[in-house]
Amino acid sequence: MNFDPLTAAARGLARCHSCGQTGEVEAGHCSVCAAPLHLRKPASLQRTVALTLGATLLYFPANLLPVLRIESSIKGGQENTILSGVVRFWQDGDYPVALIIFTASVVIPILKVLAIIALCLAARSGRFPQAMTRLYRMTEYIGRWSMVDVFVVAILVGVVQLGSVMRIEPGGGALAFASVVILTMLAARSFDPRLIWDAAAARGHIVTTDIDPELAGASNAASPASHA
Amino acid sequence: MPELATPPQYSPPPTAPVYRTPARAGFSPIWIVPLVSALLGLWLFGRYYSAKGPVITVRFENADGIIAGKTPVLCRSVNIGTVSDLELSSDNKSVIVKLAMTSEAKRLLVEDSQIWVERARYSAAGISGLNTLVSGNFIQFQPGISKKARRDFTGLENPPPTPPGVPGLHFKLIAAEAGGLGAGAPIMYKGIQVGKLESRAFHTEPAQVEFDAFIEGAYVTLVNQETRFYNSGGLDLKIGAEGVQMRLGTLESLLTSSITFTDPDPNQQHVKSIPNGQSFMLYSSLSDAKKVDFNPTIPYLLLFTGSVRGLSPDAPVEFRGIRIGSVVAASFKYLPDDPEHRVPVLIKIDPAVLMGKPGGDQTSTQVLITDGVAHGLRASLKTGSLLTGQLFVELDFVKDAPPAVITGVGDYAVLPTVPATGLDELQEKAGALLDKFKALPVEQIGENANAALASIKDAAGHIDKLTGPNSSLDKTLNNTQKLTSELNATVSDLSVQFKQVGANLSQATDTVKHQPWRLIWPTTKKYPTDGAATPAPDKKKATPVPRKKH
Repeated sequence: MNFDPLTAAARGLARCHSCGQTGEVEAGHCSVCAAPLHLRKPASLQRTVALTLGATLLYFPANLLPVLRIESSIKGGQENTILSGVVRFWQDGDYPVALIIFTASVVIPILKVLAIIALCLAARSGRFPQAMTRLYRMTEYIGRWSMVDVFVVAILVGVVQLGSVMRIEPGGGALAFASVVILTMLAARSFDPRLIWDAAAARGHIVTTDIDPELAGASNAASPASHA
Repeated sequence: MPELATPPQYSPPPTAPVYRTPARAGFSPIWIVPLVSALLGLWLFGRYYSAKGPVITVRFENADGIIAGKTPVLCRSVNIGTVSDLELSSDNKSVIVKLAMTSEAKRLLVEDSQIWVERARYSAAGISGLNTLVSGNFIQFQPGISKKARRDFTGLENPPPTPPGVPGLHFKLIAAEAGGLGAGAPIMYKGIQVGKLESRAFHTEPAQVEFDAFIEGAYVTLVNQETRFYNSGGLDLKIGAEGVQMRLGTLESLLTSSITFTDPDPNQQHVKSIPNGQSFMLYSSLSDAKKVDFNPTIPYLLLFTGSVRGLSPDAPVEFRGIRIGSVVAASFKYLPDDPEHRVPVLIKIDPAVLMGKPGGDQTSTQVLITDGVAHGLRASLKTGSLLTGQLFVELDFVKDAPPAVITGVGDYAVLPTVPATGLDELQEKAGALLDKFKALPVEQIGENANAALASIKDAAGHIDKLTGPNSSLDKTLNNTQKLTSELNATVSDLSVQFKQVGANLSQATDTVKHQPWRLIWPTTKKYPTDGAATPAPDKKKATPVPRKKH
């Protein structure tokens, strides 16, 4: 891959992932913390795609299988998927709860997967680099909120153990759902947003030097550092 | 970001080497992640659907208390499924309930499995399913023993009292009327419950009630071909020739009917194995059940000249007090045109009782009776109960009976009869007595009595005359009165004289007492007069006194 000559990457300079020290990539190790130095996260796109694919695959069992099974000696067994839980809350009139669960457990994972797919595509096409970068930040930030469901299941399973009368067991959906959330978080993490800019630069969607012309000459070494 | 028209181009120093990323790294191990995810997803789905088990459909008449997604399916209180869906059948006559069974339940879904809705019920067997008031109704599943799988079931409206596979004997009881018996009614034997009725059905053709009955495995040997079942519930009150019979079971049996059975001949070896599904008659009472013990019977016709009032069907036929048969009926149909208008009574005699061994053969019994008739065996009507006036037929040897033989009338042999004894006889005698009374010349007696009364009156008039004021009797009485007064005067004189005599006498006795010697010496003054005198012997004193008196 060719880097914009203005960038530090073009000079073989990389920032350490651990401590932020900029160093020569050729050295292979950070001069401060001895962590391996890479210009970009290694195999970032591949990892992101793989993790997203995994998350997508698990998204189906997460929503189709029950996350919660209530074993009651009085009422018999009862299984709840995420969606049936949402429907039940909605029917019971607990609209806020229904909305929260629906948003956090159904919408956000989908949006996240879609966002990561969009980021991956952007990393290839280099379109809308700034919007995509914003999307990346949101994606990474939002990710952990989807674990609400998993927390609820974990708490219920731990608390509601009334012996023979009532018992709550996690269903297969809970494991799948937790996996989906973790995989999307990892996918978001493994994505290197700089790839967007690399691609954008390579495809000429942006001019690398959208910097102040006056600064261009004076700080030609500092400017690419913001992208580094 | 405004595009600059002519952005200043920065060209790196030619000396600086342009860094190039290494060529595309080959296959990254990260692709294991989607692979594992796919496998995990498949495993989760597989596990879920393998645990889900089959979905079966059950047809119920109504879905009372069944809630889709909630109502559990229980087998021996173990949850083996849930109602997943409810829908009306296409003909709108029943409800099709879909049950999502667990995978363990798969082997329970066989042909003879039974499914019903457990709800609070009150039946002859008692109150059941009270727990469903709290937990809500549930679907009870009773696995069968068949090996044939089945997915479509028809639900039972009532729980089967006996689960399939329980050892025991299933048979049918056929009764003329239900008599308060229903599903769940117990079958008792010697006060122990040995089985129960499972269901009751009424057949219109012929009109009879059919019960499905079950005897528990341990008691199957109690039932044999000869067993007679009868309704033992409630109060059995019967008034017949044998008097008033009252049979009362336990208080419980008053409330719920039960079935009892009896073995007519427990000592006899019967065919022990009864096939399932055999039909038995259910008799309405013990006496009914016992009645049929006489089998096969020999019919005889009796011709009575007197009234047979009080002779009811099933009245006993006895020989010297032992019941050997029963009356079938008294009807003119057996002898339609008898010039003497005798009353034909058909009886049946049980050879088994008469010959003293079960199943005694008919021919020898007939010979025995024919022989007996030649020796004076006669039938007669007797009063069984003075209270109710019920009659029974007695066979006995009658002394000096006019010779008779068994004759044949129509299809029946006619046993010779003798006039009734007992109350009937008494009645006859009383009638004869009344006839004699009737024959008495009552009017003549009355006239005589009248004449006698007139004579008495005459006599009374005579007496009146005799005792009238100037009648001779009156005079006589006056005279008597005069006489009495004279007599009175005389007596008073006499009493004065008597007084004197008494005084003399007392003087005399005094003298005798104090001077006994004067009895011998009347005037002796030479002896002292004081009490020193020696007492004289009593004999000597006693004898002279009467002399002195005189």
